[in-house]
Order: sequence, then C-alpha cells, then structure tokens
Amino acid sequence: MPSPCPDVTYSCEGGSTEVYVLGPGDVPPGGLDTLAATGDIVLGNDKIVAVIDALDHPHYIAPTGGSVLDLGVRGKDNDSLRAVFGAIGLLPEEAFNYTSMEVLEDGDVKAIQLLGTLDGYPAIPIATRYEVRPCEPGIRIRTEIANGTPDALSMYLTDAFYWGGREMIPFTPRVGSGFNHPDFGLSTISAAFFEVPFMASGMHSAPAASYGVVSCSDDSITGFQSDNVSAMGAAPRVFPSKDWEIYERFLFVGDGSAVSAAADIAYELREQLWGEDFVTVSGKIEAPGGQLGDTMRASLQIVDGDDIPVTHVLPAADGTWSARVPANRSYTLVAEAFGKASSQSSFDAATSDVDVGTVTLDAVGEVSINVTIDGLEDHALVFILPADDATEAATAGTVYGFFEDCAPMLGLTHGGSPACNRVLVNGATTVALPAGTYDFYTSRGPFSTLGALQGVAVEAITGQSVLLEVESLDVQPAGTLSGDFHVHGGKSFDANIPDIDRVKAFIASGVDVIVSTEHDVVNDYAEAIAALDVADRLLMVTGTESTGHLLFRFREDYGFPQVVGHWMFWPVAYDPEGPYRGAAWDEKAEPGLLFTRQDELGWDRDIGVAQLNHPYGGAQFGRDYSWGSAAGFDQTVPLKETYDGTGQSLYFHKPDGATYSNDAYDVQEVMNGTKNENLIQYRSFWHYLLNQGIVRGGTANSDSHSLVENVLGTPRNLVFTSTTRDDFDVATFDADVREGHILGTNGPVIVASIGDNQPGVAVATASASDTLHIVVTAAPWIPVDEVRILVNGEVTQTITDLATPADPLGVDGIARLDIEVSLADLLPASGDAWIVVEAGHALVGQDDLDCDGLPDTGDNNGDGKIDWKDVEELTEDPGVDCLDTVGPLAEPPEPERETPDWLFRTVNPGGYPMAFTNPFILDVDGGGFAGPGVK
Amino acid sequence: MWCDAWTDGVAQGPVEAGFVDGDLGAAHRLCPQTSLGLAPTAYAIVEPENLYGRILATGTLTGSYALSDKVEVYANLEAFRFDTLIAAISVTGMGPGYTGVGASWRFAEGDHWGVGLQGKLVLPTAFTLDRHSWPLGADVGLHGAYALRDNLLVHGAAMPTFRAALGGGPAFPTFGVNLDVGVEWKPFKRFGFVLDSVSSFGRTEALDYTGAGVGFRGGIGEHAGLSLEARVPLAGRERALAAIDIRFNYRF
Repeated sequence: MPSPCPDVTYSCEGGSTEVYVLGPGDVPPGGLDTLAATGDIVLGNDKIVAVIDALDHPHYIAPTGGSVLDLGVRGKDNDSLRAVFGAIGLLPEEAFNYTSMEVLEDGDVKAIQLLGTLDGYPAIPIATRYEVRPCEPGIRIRTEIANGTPDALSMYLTDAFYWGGREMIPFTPRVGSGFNHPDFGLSTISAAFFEVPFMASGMHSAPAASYGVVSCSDDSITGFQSDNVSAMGAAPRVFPSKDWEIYERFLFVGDGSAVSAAADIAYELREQLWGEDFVTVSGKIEAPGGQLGDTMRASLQIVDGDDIPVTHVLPAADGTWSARVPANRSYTLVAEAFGKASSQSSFDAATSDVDVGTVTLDAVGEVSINVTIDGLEDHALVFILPADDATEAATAGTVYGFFEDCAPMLGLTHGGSPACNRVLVNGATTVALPAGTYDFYTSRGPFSTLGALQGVAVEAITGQSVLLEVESLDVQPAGTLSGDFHVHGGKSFDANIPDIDRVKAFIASGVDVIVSTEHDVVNDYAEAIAALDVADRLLMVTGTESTGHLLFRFREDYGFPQVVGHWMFWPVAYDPEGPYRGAAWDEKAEPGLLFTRQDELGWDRDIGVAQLNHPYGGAQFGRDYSWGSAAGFDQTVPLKETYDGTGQSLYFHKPDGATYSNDAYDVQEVMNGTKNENLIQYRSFWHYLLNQGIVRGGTANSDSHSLVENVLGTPRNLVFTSTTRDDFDVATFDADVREGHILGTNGPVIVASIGDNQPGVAVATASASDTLHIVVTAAPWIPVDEVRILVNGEVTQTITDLATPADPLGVDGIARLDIEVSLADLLPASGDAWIVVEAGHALVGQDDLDCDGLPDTGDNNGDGKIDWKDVEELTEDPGVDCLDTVGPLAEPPEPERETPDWLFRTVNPGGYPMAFTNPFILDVDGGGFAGPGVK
Repeated sequence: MWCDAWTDGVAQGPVEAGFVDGDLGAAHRLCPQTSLGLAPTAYAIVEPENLYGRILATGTLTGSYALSDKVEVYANLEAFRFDTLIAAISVTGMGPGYTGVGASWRFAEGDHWGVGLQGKLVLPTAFTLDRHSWPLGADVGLHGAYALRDNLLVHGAAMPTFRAALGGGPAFPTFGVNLDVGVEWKPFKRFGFVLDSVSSFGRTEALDYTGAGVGFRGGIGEHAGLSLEARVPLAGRERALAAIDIRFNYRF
C-alpha cells in the first residue's frame, strides 16, 4: 500500500523510528490504560509510541487484533487510550477482521500492513497501513476497502475510538459543540453525524494524553461523539457493489489532558494539508487566593465569533497557558472553574500570535479537612455537601456537560481526588471551595459512627479547618470478614481513577477483602499498595469481570445479536505481560463457555468463585448489562431443562465447546450499587431460582468505578468464615462464599440461626418445633425500620417495633432487635421451605406490568397505584393487561433534611438501608429439599 | 407474420424489470420498433432482521430504433437514480445511473416463430454512486419465440452475463446466465399481459434466484403504451422483494 498522507511533513533533529514485536520482558509503554502484551507490535518514533494488538489478542469491540491499543507520548508513560479500531458501520459484521499482519521497514519509515475482510463479509477485502516517520506526533493510517458483494452497503469508513465511559471526552470544533454533543440511540444516530475539521479529546486524570484525528483524504471528517465511543471517518455513503474506497488520516497524540494538546497538532496538520493558518494565543489565569494549581483546578474554552469552540486549555501550575487557534477570527475566552463558567473576555486573532493577558477567576475560600478514625489520622473519603439550597444552586456544575451534576464540583467527576464533591484525605488535606455553607461527612463504612460537621460557612479568600472524628463500632460480627466482590479502577475500560486513589478508597472503606474485578482484565494494584505501604491493611484477591462487547446471536427467539451480560471470576492470577493481564478472551461466548475459557487459563474452579453480576438491567451502547435481561427469562414459568434455542432454555444450556453449562456459577448479586432501587429485580430472580430448587448464594457489592456514583464497600458482604485478616486463606474464604455464608448489607447486620444452622446453600433439616433466632444491629446512623421474614419468596412476617437510637451521630443504640420466631408460624402447611431474613427500610413498591414476573415499574407519578400512567414512555392507555413498554423502577423518596434517612444518604447517595441473609434451605419433609415451584 | 399482432403501442417481449444494475441479463423483445419511452423503476429489499433495507428508484429514458424488421438497436439511460439504504447508518445516493446500449437481431424465423441474437453493454455512468470503480456489464444471448396463435406467444431466452469493475481496485468479475421462459397473451386489441419464469445462475451464487416475471400491458391509441411489470424472486440468494417498472412508450 502507498504511504498515507503524503502532504504531511515534519522535520526535527535526531528523529528516529522503531517497529518490533513486544517480547517477554520488554517494557511496554506506560500509562493508566496500557494493555500491551507479549506478541503485540510496538510502532514508534522519537515523539510517540503506539501498540497495535496482535491478531489473536483482540480487545473490546474489535473482532481481531490490528487495532491501535496503546498510544502515548514518548517518555511520558501517559497512554490513555482504550482502543481505536476500524469499521464501516455500527453492526458487529461491519468491523474489520484482519487475517494477516506484516511489518514493513523502509529506512526511517516503519509500518505495519494488515489484510483482512469485514467480519461479516468475507467478500469485502480491507487493508490498513499504520506508518510512523521521524519527528511526527502521530500515526499515518491508510485503509483500502472494496465491495465484492453483489449488494450495495451503507458504508461509513471510520475509526471507532472506544473511550469506554467515564474517561475521554471528545471535543469537536463545530457551531455550539466543543464538548457538547447530541444524545443518540441506534435509531437516531444518523442525526448525530456532523462534519468537523477534526476531533480531539480531553481526559480527567494525570498523567494523561489527549488524542485527535484529521482526515488527509478530505478537508472534513465526519462522525458522532459520546463518552463511550466516538466515530470519525469519511462521510457515510452508498457503497455500490464493486466500488472501492481509500481513507487516509493522521491519528495524533498530545501530552496532557487538555484538548489543546491534541488540537494544537490538528491545527498544524490542517495548515499543512489544507493551508489553514493558525496563531498561538497565550495568557495567564489566576485565582485571587492563589489556589490555582494547588487546591483548585480551572480550564479555558476559546470560542470564535460564530459560536464554534475551537480549543480547550488547562493552565500550568503557575496559571500560564497557550493554545493554537485558527487565524483571522474573533474569539471569546471562557474561563471555567468548579464546573461553571467563571469569567469571559474577548480578543481578536489576526495573523500573528496573541497574548491576551491575565484572566482572574472568582474568589474562593479554602478548607483544611482532617479525619481521625478511633483517634488517629487515617485514610477517609469525605463528602462535602451544600448545606442549603442557595449553596446548592450556586455550586452545581458538570464536567463540560458530561457525567453527573456535582455540587460543589471540586474536581473532574471520575478522576482522582477531589472528584465531584468527594475528597480523599489522610491527614490535613486542603481543598478550595466556592463561598457557601457546607456539611462535611465521612465514615469508615457502615460499621462506624458517622463523622459529621454541619453548616460550615466558607467565605472567599478565607481559610478554615474541619475535623471529622469517626469511631469504630462493635457491629461486624466476630468470625466475619467484609468483602466487596465488584470494584473497578483505572484499568477497567469505564474507569479513570488512578490506582493510588483507588487503593486509598479501599482503605477508607474499611472493607477487609477487596476482589479486584476490572472489566476484561486483571489488576493487582501492587505498585499503589506498595507506594502507600498498606499491604498489611488490605486483603487483595485478583479477579476479572467478563464484559461482553462483541454482539452475537445466541437466542433463536430474539431478532438481534446480544452479549451475555457481566460475569465475575476470582481468583485469576495477574499476568503483567499477558493479554488481558491474565484474563481470558471473553467474547462471543455463552456463560458456560466463559467459565471454560477462564478455567483453561488457570482460574481454579475448585477454589474460585463465579458470580452472576447484576442479573437484570439495560444495555450500554447496545451491549446487554445482564444475563437475565439478555436471555429474557420469563419468571412466570419454569426454566426449560432441555435446550430449544429459546432464552428460557439457556439457563441450563451447555454451549458447544464448553466444559460447563451456563448455570455453573456459584453466587449472584442480590445487591449491586450504592443506589439500590434495582435490587428488587435481582432479588426477584434469586427468589425465582430458589423457588425452583436452584440454590445459589447471594452477594452484595458496590460496583464502584470511581469516587463518585457507587461508594466503594457499599453495599458489602459479611462472610462468615474461619479464615482471618491475619492468616488469610483465599480458598477457605471462597469456599464460604460459594456456600453462601454471607450477609449482604449496606448498614444493618443480621445474625440469624435456626438451631445450629446458619444461612447458606447447604440443605438443613428443620421442623415446626424449631425457632428462627434473629439479631439485628446497626450503627446509630443506619435507620432500620423493619425486619422481614420471607418464606418461599413471600413476606411471612414483618417486624417493625425495633429499637431506635436516640442520637444518630452518637455511638449508642447499636442493638435493634433480638427475637425468636417459631418456625411453626413460618413454614408452609406442606413441603419444604427456604427462608431469608431482610432488615432495613421498607422496600420501594414496584410492580410487574409486562407480565413476565419481574418487577419493572414503580409508582412514578405518586398516585398510589402502579399502572400504565407510571410508564415513562406511555402517554395513553394501551388498553392491554400486559404492557409492551414498562419502567422505570421507582427510586426511594428524597428524605427530609436532618432525618435519619437523610443522614444515611449523605454517604450512601441514592440508597436506602437494606440487608439480607442468604437462605436457610430447609428440608422439612425429610425427602431432601424441593423448591415450592414458580409462583 | 407473428410480430404483426404487436405493431401498436402495447409492449412486447419478456419482462425487462431486473435485479441487476442496468437490467443486465434481461431479454429484449424480438420484434423491432422505433420508440421513445420513460420508465420509472423501483427495487426494494426489506430485511429488518438484518437491519437492512434498500429502496432503489430510477427514472429511465428508453429509446429504440428499428434498423430493419429484424434488427433493432436500443438504449436505456437511467437519467436519475435514487438509492437509499436503511441501515444502522442510513445513507442515500442520487445522481445519474447506468446506461444500457444494446442490439437485437432476429436472424431466423418462420411464419410462427423467430430466433434472435441479442446483447447489450451496461456502461458505468453512475458517476456519483460509483466513486472509484467503473463497473462494466455485458450480456449476449439467444432469444426465441413461437406464436401459438396470433395473439399468443411463448418465448424463451438464455442470456449469459458478465460484469466487472474497471479502474484501480479489484475487478470482482462475475459471470452468470439468465434463463427466461414465458408466455405473452394479448386477448384484446389494447391489452395484453406476460407471465415469465425467470432464473439466474452463477452471478452471485449457484442459484441467484428463480422466480416469476409478470407484466400488464396496455395500449393508448395506435402508438402509445403503458405497462406495469414486475420481477419477483421466489428462491435463491436474491434479497429483493421485487423489481417493478412502469413503462410509458411511444412507438413511431
């Protein structure tokens, strides 16, 4: 193939290039997102270093290797790229499937040439050349494609930038755009396509790189943007049979997390390619209190007179900044701090460089925060909340419109601390805060007091101190270890928190056992744990969350390709040089085949755990979150034991090539996430299985991805186990997990027993003469309004006369209930039974409006009944008993300030108190346990 | 002479609506005429299960010139081609379409029958759709007809086809053969219809399609005619629901 982008020219002193296959012991490029493994190809020069994944190491949405997997600035170890791969459309069969790779060297020109076809069209050949030359800040890429099918196709020849979510945010210089892009779905995506001169991206964390792409084939580039995926390529067109196309582009990388690092390169390239002049604008930004670069962040957007944002800049620590912008335009300079526009000024840029002087931000105050745990300074996660509506309104902001609103927005939402309104502290830690009145909260998880300081007035320029004191409480039962079996860090494709802050959050959570479960890869956090010297405070088990990306068809009764949701495996050994860092490739496989692949790669089934994660949920970018939703289990009828291709028969199916069947998992999540309205669906599926005699343990995990959204360790598992922190044995611990010796909780603690029997998946004998002993404890700030006893999935008794602590912020009032309940009052008239005990708040009412047995809709209009009027997408009565369109689930009501529920929410945003025991599986009739059947 | 029943504006010959660009492989009438016409055509694929749909419409100008009572030259010019793909990313292309230039020579005949050699070139004139390649097509074959009665004909044609792309990319040459066996009946002076069994082999797969061609043909006075014709695949690889022509023709 010819060399791409012949009109691009860079020169420098001492330029060099390299291309080689990464071998054992070779040090790959560094960075938070680095995934280079032995066998991948390193392609670099004196400016940049890139990794192209080997053909048999595909990542994410690409069906084969040959994608740009890592890309960073030479010597900076700042790879922040998930993957860039080629496609001509959105469907799986439209991705590039490479079958051969060749390394080419011609003097200083180094290249890789890949040949293949579209994944679903063997008659459509493709060829791609990645090329580096000395001195250049990126990779030249050329793709050739020809339509050898008899049919015309929709062709959008593009690079798909898989950001993953919570990471890169794309920027396009288009009227009204910048970071602002339209929302879209599969049916509305055509309206999200725009032609732009280039695309660049900004990042949250440091060290970071920014990326961009310009077309060398055309003076514009076309695509859509989201925080999951951006696509940038040649304009979509009809691709007739026998026609062919060539697309050349330059993919570049800038040093730093500002868009300007990449945009500066884009403007230089466009000058070379299309003769567009640029000038360099510089200036300084300062905060009156001098916090900038120390405890405060700020940024600038430069918008031209036609309302086209042209770049985005982060100032250096001393406030100075510079950026390139197109020449001969008038501009507005918009300074941003705390997620809001702070000041605005104008300037003209003709044909020479411009110094726009100093921009002064609004004055802010400073607060020094310290936390003691049992009298000693220690790691803690502090929540800073507006204490009144005025402060809330004045401080609410976002990261350029992406992600959640935060009040106050102290740092970028999903980056390191401070993030959103949360700060990691370990000793006195100073943060800048806009003027206002704030509350400060922290805890050491749910088994400590709630450290609180309310109504702290912060004034501009001034400084003050906040001390939060937390005490451990005797709530966690002896003989238990707490564990969070679902946590993510920066190695996950949808997380961006640096490892060092992730480990600080582990410690701050007070969780004993962390199962590291990055999406599709393994990470052991060893460097961060060593750097913080906390190895003796943390029990780390490495695992992985298998997360399907490649859509495939596994249900004959469903018209579209899907993925099988998310599955957890641990322990999985961390392999610092291996593909996926030791995890198995997990695409195009039913669960049983996933289990088999992990097994073949070394996951020891006998000492490990396989967990079904969040069994129900929606989809992200068309990828199913959940096995239950993907399979479409109808909970009103039993699962089919014989496979017939339908979703209902998938549960027990053993896929071709698999050693295990799809039901060969050990536990499922009954609670997932701090914001827990979805637990009603997970619980429903668990009960549905138990009623059929399919017994699996239930777990409760945070699914935390950052310091925001889900709070690490909330909820968590209390595992009743003989192993201890001091002499931890993962095999023993996992055996107890598999046995269901678990309490899942975000606060209340239930210790339940029937005689000598504890909850778990093992069958116990029982009779009506036995009693169920329930002891409930909780920290004073955890409201426990009721205890529910469920027998065969039905609430048989609800106990509401529980003790209430006098002072939620005190240390007394832990004991809430100690009661004996006769099984004679619980057991059914005949047959066996399973019993689960729950404690906390009354569940939020939800109903099943589509008649599949799964609660799907809440009383969203507050009229006291759940019907079609509560369905978000319905505006008129469909006139049928079973609706086709349902949802959403109702969220718990927003509590009044200063109530116990409100205090609970301060450190458990969006959640309500809930704990559940694993089931007592009771053989009452002496014939072995048989479930009561589907209800 | 058997062609005499079709000397007015009512169309004659096999169904010409085709699935291939420029109606490649479609047999042409054996009875020469000099005419001008306009033929809006449509072609549709509807496959929601594959997130794929295609609507192709053309505005085709047709012209023919009878060099003798046995030889005709003709041309079909897709003056406008509208091609829209309904997919995850829907796209539309518009512009000039393909141009077919052909000839038909009835080289042997009797009172009730005739046999002709015919062929055409499909020229790559869809400049805005084929951005880089120059797909050139050709067919040549034999076409015979037998008059069972003055107003009732049976016909059959075998038309080998060839198509390949010229230019810098792969040629993707394809070879195939179209077979057409049918009957034409003109029960009234100003109305007739045609029913064909149509098949294509080898162009995309062993069996491209086998199906039916049907046409309803009317006359407007002595010179003009209007026909509605469709080709429908019943089996094979072809994905279209149907190809449909509405042809207005003025015969000089």
